[in-house]
Amino acid sequence: MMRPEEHNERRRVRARRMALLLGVFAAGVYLAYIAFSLLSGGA
Amino acid sequence: MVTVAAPAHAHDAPRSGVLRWITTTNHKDIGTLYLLFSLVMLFVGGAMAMVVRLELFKPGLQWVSPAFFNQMTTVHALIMVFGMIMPAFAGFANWMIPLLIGAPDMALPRLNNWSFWLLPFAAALLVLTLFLPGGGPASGWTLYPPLVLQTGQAFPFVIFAVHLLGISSILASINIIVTIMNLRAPGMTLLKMPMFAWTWLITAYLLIIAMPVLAGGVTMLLTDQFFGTSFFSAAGGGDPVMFQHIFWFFGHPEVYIIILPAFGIVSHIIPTFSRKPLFGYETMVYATASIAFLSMIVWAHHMFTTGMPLAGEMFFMLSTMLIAVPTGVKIFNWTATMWRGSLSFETPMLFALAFLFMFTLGGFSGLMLAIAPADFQYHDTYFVVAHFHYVLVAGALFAAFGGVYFWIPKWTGHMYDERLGKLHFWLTAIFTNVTFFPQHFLGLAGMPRRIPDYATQFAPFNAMSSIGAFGLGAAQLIFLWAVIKCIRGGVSASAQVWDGAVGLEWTVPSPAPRHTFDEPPHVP
Repeated sequence: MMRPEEHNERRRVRARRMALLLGVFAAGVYLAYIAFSLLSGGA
Repeated sequence: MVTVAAPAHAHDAPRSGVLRWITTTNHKDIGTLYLLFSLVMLFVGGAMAMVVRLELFKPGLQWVSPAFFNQMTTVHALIMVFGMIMPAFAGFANWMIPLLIGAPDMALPRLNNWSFWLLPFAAALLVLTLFLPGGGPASGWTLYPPLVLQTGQAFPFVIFAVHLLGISSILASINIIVTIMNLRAPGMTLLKMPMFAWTWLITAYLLIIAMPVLAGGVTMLLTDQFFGTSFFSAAGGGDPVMFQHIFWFFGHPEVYIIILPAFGIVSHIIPTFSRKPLFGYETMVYATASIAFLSMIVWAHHMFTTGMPLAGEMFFMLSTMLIAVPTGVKIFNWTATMWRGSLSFETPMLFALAFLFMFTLGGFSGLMLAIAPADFQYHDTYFVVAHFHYVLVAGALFAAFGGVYFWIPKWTGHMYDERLGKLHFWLTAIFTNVTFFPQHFLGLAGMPRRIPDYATQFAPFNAMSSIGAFGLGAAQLIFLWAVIKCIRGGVSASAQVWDGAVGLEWTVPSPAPRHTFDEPPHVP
């Protein structure tokens, strides 16, 4: 049986990984929109 | 490698004074900061609305120059959307989501601190642009080029402020998603999760998809202005209408980003004061997800008058109308929750009921605006102003007021003054209608929005609307008084607070102790 603190710590580590992925996704959307606008003849 | 897990809050004893608030990583402290910040912004943005309504009290130019009037409408909107209502719901999320799902804190507490502390600087930057040569932005909150490129020295500051506000929202959303996905109490499956957590989970995903699009759009405005690009300039091969597509691809989901957490709050208040479980919980969840999905494929209904192929008009008209279906499911479920319930009408319930009636009214005028041929008549008139104020003030803001009265006993440990709460409610409900209902008629009669002067036939309804606005503004001082009074003292609140209240947040004492659920509760 895992101690509650250990359990919480594991969940936090998983949360950090997920946060990183979501952050990369958000940055990807940002760059993709600018790239799409460049390709569609802007700039 | 052996990892030794430190106690979750070994380092987290509250500091004293200002440092406590600057360095805090506690979700309750950060929730309080968000809510207080939002309260300040309510009055800052509200003061700008008073300037607008003062100028429109009668025809002709009386008080401010047309340029300053446009700055007031623009900054009022930006402050109310990004500085007031979004932070208010982020405050509710911070305070309540860990309590609702049985988590010890938000999953990423330092990120949480950073998300909040970006806000005051961004808002200050935005407000201070009013004092720069050329004044603040005056293009409306939509920041359409080429008009927005005529902004004076304020332009780069506005773009930077919008970026900061967006980053703050994205970081808060990431935190909310990972908290809900990872820190739910054992036994709390997704379909056992309280509605407010559900609505915020879906909102947070919407924010992560929509907000970077706005950031991309305003970055391109910046490069058009300073780095020689012509994304939105026809002279250089670009297209100003493309900005409108980009803006509204963010802007329409943004409307739902604001209203979905409001739906969540109302879904807690109505069952509590009906003393019945929420009717059709699962359909509520699916309706929320459907609204979020549909919100991303309807953006061009804001742009019917820019001209588009008939197939495009049909698609955006019909997909917009489709949103009425899941929204109707929600309205039906709230009504069915009250059916044969043991109703009582404390202040949170009054706000929730007013929300139900008036948000539905705003929804109906939205349906009228969705009809493409009719929109050619309504577009950029006061009818639109009336519509979105019914949705955002009588919808989102009323739900936020209801949420404050509902949960403030849990936050402060004191009951609020019911007499003050009811006075605040009735004045707010009456003056909201006096302010915004006549604007429907003004719009239908052809009065354009964003103008400081108007033809004399619009004078009576404008005077009525202005009187309503002054009353609405003054009524919020009662809210301020009620909140301060509740923080300073009052009748002690029990843990359950409301006799019909069900959920983990009501199992902890009032006020909620600094650390809750260090050992996760088990949800059967």
